[in-house]
Amino acid sequence: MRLERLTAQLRPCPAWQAIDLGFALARAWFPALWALWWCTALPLTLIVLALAWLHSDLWLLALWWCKPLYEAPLLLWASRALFDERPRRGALPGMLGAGLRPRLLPLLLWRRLSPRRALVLPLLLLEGLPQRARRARLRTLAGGSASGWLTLVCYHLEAILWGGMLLGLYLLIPEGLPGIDLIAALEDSAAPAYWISSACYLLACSLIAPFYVCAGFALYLSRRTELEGWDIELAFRRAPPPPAAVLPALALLAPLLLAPPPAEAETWPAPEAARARIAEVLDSPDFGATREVELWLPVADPAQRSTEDAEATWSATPPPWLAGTIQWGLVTLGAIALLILIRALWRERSPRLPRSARTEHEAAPEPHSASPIDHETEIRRLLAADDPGAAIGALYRASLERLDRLGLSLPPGATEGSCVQRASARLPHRVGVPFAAIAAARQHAAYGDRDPSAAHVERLLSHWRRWQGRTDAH
Amino acid sequence: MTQTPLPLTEAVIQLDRLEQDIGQAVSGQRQAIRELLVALVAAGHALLEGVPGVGKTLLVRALAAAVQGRYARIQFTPDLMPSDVTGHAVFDLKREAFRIRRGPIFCNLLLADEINRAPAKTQAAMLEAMQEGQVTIEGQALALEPPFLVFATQNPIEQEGTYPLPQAQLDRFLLKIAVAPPSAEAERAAVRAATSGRIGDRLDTSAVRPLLDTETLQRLQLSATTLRLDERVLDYAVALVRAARDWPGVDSGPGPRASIALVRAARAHALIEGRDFTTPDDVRCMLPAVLRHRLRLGAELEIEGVSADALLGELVERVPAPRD
Repeated sequence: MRLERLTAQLRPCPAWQAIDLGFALARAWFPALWALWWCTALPLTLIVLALAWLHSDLWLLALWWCKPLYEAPLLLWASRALFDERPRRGALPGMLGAGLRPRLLPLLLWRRLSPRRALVLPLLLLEGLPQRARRARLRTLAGGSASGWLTLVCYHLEAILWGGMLLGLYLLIPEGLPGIDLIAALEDSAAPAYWISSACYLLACSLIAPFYVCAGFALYLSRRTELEGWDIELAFRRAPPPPAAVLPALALLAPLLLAPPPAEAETWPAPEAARARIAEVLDSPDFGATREVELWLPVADPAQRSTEDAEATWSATPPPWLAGTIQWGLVTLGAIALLILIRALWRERSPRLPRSARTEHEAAPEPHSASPIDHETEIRRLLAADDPGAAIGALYRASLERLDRLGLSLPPGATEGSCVQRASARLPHRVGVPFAAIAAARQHAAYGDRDPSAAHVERLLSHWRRWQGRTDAH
Repeated sequence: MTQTPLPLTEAVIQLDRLEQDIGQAVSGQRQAIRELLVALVAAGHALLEGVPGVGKTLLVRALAAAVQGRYARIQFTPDLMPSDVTGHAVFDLKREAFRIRRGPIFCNLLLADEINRAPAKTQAAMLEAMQEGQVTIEGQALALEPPFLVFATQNPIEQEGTYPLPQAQLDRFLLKIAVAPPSAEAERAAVRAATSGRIGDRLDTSAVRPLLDTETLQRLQLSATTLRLDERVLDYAVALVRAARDWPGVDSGPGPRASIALVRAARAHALIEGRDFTTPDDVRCMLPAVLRHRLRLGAELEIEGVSADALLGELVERVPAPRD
């Protein structure tokens, strides 16, 4: 491995930054990786299609299960490209063959559903360790690598892409052409829509796979950088060589500089002696001893010091009264926000009248709040003034007020007909019938310009008085 | 010849007979029959919407049987061309000149069956006829003989292969009549009548007598226009339409043509009810049929499943009716 030929800058970084680096690499190499994915997947797709003909669900399951086979060539390509060795066309069959290596067997069997697949793949393909060592190595590398999260995120991206494609097809097929049945696309494996859905899923897999593999590879590199100090090694390797003129001098001085002192060189301790020496050092009173040292330091002006202390206290912990004020302020703001929210929801539930209608509603006369005697006096006054039209209008409004008191709620939009209908349906016959007569007379007077006779109004008035539970005095 | 309005009593008798006869041919569709008569009297076009088999075509056929005018029916299909509706110019070899061959639209009552099955250009061919009462063929404007009424039908559930009517075309229809399935009792009566002593399932309109000629119909229509309309009723109608326009959740509301249509329909309704004046009840009664196809609900209301009829039901309760 020639670390100095790395095309990416290696440094210890958190897992998410490593994944980001992987995504950046995938973006840079996407056309080549995508084509490589299809080079492996397409033949397999056709073979499985021939084997599982008319069973689209089996076909899809088999293709999904064999995903590590298509990902292996991608990893090999990326591992070479990272060290600035773009594989030639001649190397492609070898890389495609990598998908069939027996090393991948764990990923196709018991490790297929492992969430760390992205990290296991470089370990299997690039390191080639025996099984026991591989297991220990995986434990070391996987710690804090977020490879499980990577699998989860990529799985969701695949699902979103697949659903998006399916929905896009569903929505964009013009009316008149045979469309896609979404239910069948998800459930009915015999339907053509299911095949389309499967093809969409395969396409989504092909689009996400380069990102998944590169991100896994970047995680792998990041962990090795962190554990093995690749970045330091790389820094040393990339350090500029010493100037040529200095080399002969260094060569001459080397024995002097590097050679150990003669005494030590002669008495290079044997392991037993070294152990004894170590024990001696450990036992010596100076090793691990603590000492108390007393010294004098300059002290600032006490006044200045107290001010500084106060400032430090102020910035560190606010006074209790301020904390209380802030707390109550926040509670008040929260309560106001809650009230605004409730009000908005309430308005949402009961749509307001448009401004034009509201204005008219506000302008509309409210039922008179006068007592029955007032109504009667008013009606009689209008009759005396020879205005039976106005009198029947007043009687109608008084009747509405009375209906309201009887518990018949009449909305502002209730016309004469709807008032009569409601009164007949909900109130006793002795109320409904006279009210219908009053409403009819009012309609003729108001809209037909046909005023009732004074006698008719008197008759209706006496009916109305009976509603009130009073006897007719006249 | 200047026409005179039909006297109120005579108009009411004629309309009553008409309603009864059509009611015998089409059972269980009282509301739809009433609204169809409103369209006839108000001289407006109507769009009938209902699931297949509820009697939309029969309803119009029965009306056509009662009105002694020229009746034509066009089955709208995806390959129907505008010239199949309006007519076209053909070269007359004998006279060595082009001759106008008039299409089925030159009639008094036109049944446009399944109008939303034809593409937009064919639907648009009817716009000029419906609004201006004339048809232009080869640059020549040909007037349609009054009365000219279009009764179109459409099916609300089959959307595949259909072309929804554009808003401009919908606005030309005075009313959109919702033809609902009949009640159990009415359906039983219809089944009994249709299967007793009758071969096949052809539409039977023999119960409908030819009651109105075109001249009487026009006098009837004139009568409706002379009914008294109080200012308060006019204000109420306009307030309702304006409220529908500004109602929360409505994307596109009705225009002033809807106010005009509402008052026309209310007058016709009042005449059918036997009154010589219009009341707020007439306006309220005709509001759904006049506005339901002129409202385009916003996505929010659509998602909540609010229909135009439900919205209008709420609106009519909230807009104040005249009480002073």
